[in-house]
Amino acid sequence: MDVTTFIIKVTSNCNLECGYCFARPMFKKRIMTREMLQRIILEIDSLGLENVRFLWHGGEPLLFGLEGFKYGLEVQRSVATSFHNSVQTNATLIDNDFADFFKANNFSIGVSIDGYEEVQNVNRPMWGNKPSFNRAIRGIRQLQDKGIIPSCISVISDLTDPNQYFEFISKLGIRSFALKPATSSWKHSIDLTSYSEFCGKVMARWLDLDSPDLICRNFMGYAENILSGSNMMSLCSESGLCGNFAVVEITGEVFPCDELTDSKYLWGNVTKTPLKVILNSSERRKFLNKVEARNGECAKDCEAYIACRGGCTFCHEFYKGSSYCEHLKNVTSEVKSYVLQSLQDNVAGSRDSELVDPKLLDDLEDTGNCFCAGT
Amino acid sequence: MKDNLMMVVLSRIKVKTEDTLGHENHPPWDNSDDHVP
Repeated sequence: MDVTTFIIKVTSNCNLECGYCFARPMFKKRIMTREMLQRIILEIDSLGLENVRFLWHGGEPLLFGLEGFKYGLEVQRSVATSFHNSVQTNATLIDNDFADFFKANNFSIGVSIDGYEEVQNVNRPMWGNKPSFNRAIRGIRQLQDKGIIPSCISVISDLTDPNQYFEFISKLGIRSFALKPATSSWKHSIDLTSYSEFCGKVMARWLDLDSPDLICRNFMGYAENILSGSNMMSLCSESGLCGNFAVVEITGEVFPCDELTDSKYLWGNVTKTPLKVILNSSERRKFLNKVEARNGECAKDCEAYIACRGGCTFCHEFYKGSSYCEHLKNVTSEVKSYVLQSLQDNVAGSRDSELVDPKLLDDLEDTGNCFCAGT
Repeated sequence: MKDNLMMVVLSRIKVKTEDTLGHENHPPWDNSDDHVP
């Protein structure tokens, strides 16, 4: 399986100290060297892929500095592979120069922001417990002033009110948002039952808004999978497949995911082994076989599989027992109800679309066209 | 699900079905901002 997205951790440091951050305890308080960045880009090029996605990540990647980004692009342009760049940032360091640079170089921008002011400032304070909300908003406005419409990811804590959150996110001027539960031992981490309820309420508001300009990637991804009968993989965390991604740390260590960086997931180090060898290593094969085996079990007897495709490996590891699967069942069954109801009503001519899985239409006939959204 | 979102879902499925960028078993579309730092 090709890796198509490389997540490059150009910093092991951040100017925020989010309560739930899984990376903060491991921060080395430094940034990647240019030699390492060059090596990684050359190693990616050596794979012989025509196109790859290159996600500048951290910590906070903008701590790498604008000159570091410019250097990276110089190296990218000196090789055969075509790089599509994106950056996942807390937005607090985006100034006019960064915004110009991102616009000029066609970056996709993902902003991590947890919602309205009260929640953002508690979930994601600056160092010294100072508020970050105004700085993050200022950064987002810098992007928007250049015509860049970012996407957002919000980590949901037990402080986040779904209605206030949706009011905020729907007026932020972004193209999409994704939700994720706070998963650490932090005092405001959310239990999955509450998170399922939160998702249900946000989903109802999102569906009611019915705006083609605001996509919730979680719910949209489930709907795509259900409608098409195949894996549309909108979010890596809800596609069941980890093999399209690789993370490279500032040390050159390669892991499957930015959340799976324990030594037991280590595939190798580009300073010692060519990336091509690492991606063909027995360590990586074992990991992917394990993921595939788990997904195979899910496919056998779980009603959520059509939507979640096995879900997120990190979440399976983090949430012991069945709570994660129960959450997926809760949320995906709601999405499925909405989808089936829409087919029944032939919304947007959906019943006549060749893109809809014929089995789904058969199910609709078999159940007597009786589906009630939200049940 | 109302008309606008249903049309978006169908168009996204169409794009994803058609856009392969030459990779095998891959997410060909732009999902590169789907990560949390």
